[in-house]
This record gives sequence, C-alpha cells and structure tokens, in this order.
Amino acid sequence: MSDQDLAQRIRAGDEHAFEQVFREHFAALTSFAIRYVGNVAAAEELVQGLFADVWTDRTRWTIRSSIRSYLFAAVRNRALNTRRRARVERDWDEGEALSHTDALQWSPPAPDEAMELGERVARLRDAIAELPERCRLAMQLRWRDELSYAEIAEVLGISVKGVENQLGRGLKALREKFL
Amino acid sequence: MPDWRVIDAVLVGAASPEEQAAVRRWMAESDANAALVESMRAALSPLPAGAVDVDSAWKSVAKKVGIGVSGTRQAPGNRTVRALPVRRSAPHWIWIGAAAAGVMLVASLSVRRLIRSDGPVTELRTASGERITKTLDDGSTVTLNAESRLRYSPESNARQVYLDGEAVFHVVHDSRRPFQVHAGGALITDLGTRFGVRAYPEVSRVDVAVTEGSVAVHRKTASGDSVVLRAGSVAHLSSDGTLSVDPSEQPAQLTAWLDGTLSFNRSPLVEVAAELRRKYGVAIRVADTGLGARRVTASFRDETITQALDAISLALGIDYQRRGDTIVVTARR
Repeated sequence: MSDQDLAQRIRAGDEHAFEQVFREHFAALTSFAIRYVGNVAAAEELVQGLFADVWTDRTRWTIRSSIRSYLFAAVRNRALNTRRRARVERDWDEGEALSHTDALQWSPPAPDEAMELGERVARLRDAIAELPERCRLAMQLRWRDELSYAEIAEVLGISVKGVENQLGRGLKALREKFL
Repeated sequence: MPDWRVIDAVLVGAASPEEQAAVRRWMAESDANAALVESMRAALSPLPAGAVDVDSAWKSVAKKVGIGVSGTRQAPGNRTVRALPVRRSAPHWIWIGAAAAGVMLVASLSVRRLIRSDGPVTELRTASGERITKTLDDGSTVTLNAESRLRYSPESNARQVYLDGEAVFHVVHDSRRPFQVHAGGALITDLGTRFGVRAYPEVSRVDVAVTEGSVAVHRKTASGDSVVLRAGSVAHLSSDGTLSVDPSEQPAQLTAWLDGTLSFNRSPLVEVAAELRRKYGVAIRVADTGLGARRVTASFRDETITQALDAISLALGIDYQRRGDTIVVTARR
C-alpha cells in the first residue's frame, strides 16, 4: 500500500492504518527528536503529541512526498517551536563553534558506553560533533534513517542541492578530521 | 577519496558493483577510511538510545484520542510481537560474484590474517553462493552462510567474534570465558548452545534462533533490552531497538539454509531476492520499491533458480527477465 493510500485511509478514519503508521515510525522519530530536545521523555512526548494532533485533525491530513518526510518535518518544526529562544540551525557559513545545546545533544559517550560502541565509533562520533548542526541532521536523516534527498530537503526546509551540499561537505570534513 | 556520492550510495545500499569495489579499495587503504563507512550508522545514532517502548507509547496516544477505548476492538494480529517496520530500500544493484550467472560459486574460503593494533585478527569471508564450516581453536564450530564475514582474535583469551551476515554456531560452553557474538546492534552470549544469528546489512534487524540450550541476547547500549532465549525460540532485534520474540516461530525456519533450504514466511520480495542471490550466485534486481515490499511465502531447496523464480512470479503476479548477468523483476503489465 502506498503512502498516499495509507494517508487516504487515515483521513477516512481507519484506526488500523493509523496504528500501523505509528508503530512504523515512532522509534525513529523519537531518536530524531532527541537531537533537538535532549532527552527521551521529552522526545516521546513531542512525537506522541504530533500523532495525537494528526489523528484529531485527520480529515484534513495531507502529505507531499511521503508519510515519513511529513512526520520528520513535523517533528523538527515542533521541536524548533518549543524552544524558548528562536533558534536557527547552525550551517557552514554561520561559524563552526558549538553552542552549549549542540554539545548536549552530541555528548561523547560515557566510558562504559564507549567500550561497547568500540573505539572507532566513539571517535567518529566526536568528529561528527564538530560539524555544523544542519550538516549533522542531513547526515543522520540520510545514513541512519535513509531518507531520500527530496525527503531530507522537505524535512530541513532546504533545496535538494542544499542537501547534497551538506552531505558532500560533511563527508569531506569528516575524512579530514578523522585520522 | 571516491566522489562523496559513491560513498553515499554504499551507505544507503544503492551502489553498483563497480561503486562497491571502488569503495572497498578505498576502505582497504586505511583504518580511517574503513571506519567512515562501517561505523557511520552507529556514530549517527543518538545517545542515550535506550529502549523505546512503542507499545506503551501507542496505548498512551490511543487513549488520548479515544481509539479502541471501550476495548471492544482489538487490532488484528495483536500478539505479543510488534510488527517490525519494513525498511524501504531503493531499487539497487546487487553485487554479483566473478562467475557467470547461473553458476554456483565454489570459491575457496577466503581467510585473512589482519594485524591490528590490539593484536592479530583472523577474518573468514564468504562470497555469494559460498558456505563454509570451520572449527575454532576452542572446539566450537561456526558455519558461515554466503556473503558473510566473521572476525575474531585467535590469540585472545576472551571468546569474542564479530559477525556480518549469517552463521550458525555450535559452542563449547565455558562459563569462565563466555562465547559472545557481536552482530549488528546485538550482543549474543552463549549459555550452552547451538544457535543461529542473522545480521545481513539490507535487512534492518538481527535475528537469533536457538536450537539447543539457551543464549542471552542483548542490545548493545548501556541500557539495552535483554532477553534469554531458550531452545526452540527466535528473537528479532530491529534497528529501532525493539527486541521481540514470537512464541510461534520455529528456529528451524531460520537455520533451514544449512541444508540449502530457503524458507520464506511473508518475507518481502527484496529480502527474497537477496537470499536467492546468496544461494544461486545470481544478481537479482527488483524494479521498484512497491514491488520489493510484496510478501512471499515459499520454500526452496532442490529447485533451480528458474523454477524458484517461476513459482514466485506465479504467486505474486510478476514477471522477470534476464538482462546480461542480472535478472530483473518487474510488475506484470
């Protein structure tokens, strides 16, 4: 069943279709939300709130490219809105210094976690932490959640060319930092 | 460094054979190159990962919006096992071995000894159509399925092995030195067993099936889910962290490959294509994602690739045709 079909069924009030979409995406969306809000409980609450609103307003629910990109974009919008001060995602040209909240979300692993993760992964995480935030988000959406370029563009509110730019620069920068 | 798009293609599983080869060569040049590809996914996953309880999250939401509140309607398939999300994969080229299509590869086992900073590591590798059984120094045996890789340090006292792909282990139990398999995001500890582990990259989960004794399956994070699996059971660890056990599932289905049987139970076509490739050594491309998500229930052992594809085509109403070295599967017009 295509995403459009599923969306159609949800508009029509199909609870099973809605549950299916929920179960399919909830965990990945929560992981994504953690980037913004910093902890699991707040992330779950945000994502649950999103789904509740989708259902409440289901008769008017429409998607563009895919359900997944709709949901990721919606999570990001909510997360950005709930911040007390207006926050723009740091991009390449806005300077590379980490803000305090950036550091919080990309914290280095605790020693016992690092052992389980393996030294390489831990070092790569450190290198990723030094990248601009928008670049990190694009990389996670692409290489962890496997969204298409078009979906990532929709989620981050940038062009497809912009997405490619983030990924290309990011990979080059990582290779330089990670020796 | 290869063009970033080529590395991107490998990271999302959409790389052609040439692209895969180019990236593999680049990875062999240095540990940093290799890590960029192999560790990327894990490095991008947030901490703390923890266990996200999708069931109770769903109950919260359902209750909040008034779904199924009176309890008169249970969702069909409301068993103890959550439906696992099916990873959508873009249509991708599947790597073909050196032999021509239709010929089973009987290449010799590739064993490499790598020297790393923490001591020598032995690596066993199999290609498409290959399978090998090896007895390890402690007397345990491992049977490695096609397109798999097992790494371990023979001189180390700790019995830790690292698996990509699929294997069945028959472990000599030693409680002072537990035998542990690292596969995908899971850590599987022998408790006196014979068990199978399945962790192929195109399937976003790790499957563990126990035929004798028991194992502990643990998600590799500081506070991961953990379960003890006894003989006769199967667990799935999906990439989003859910660990599920279906009491009705039989381990024999997951270890059927040992005698050359392929067994599918509502498996997505794209996984079936990968399995057929591994058994027959033939590249199979599924033309679109919608097609790739269709479910197949079937079992093959002595059939030829043509017989297997005919059976699947009939059941799903699809077509296939050979184009050079590759078989392309399309929707029937």
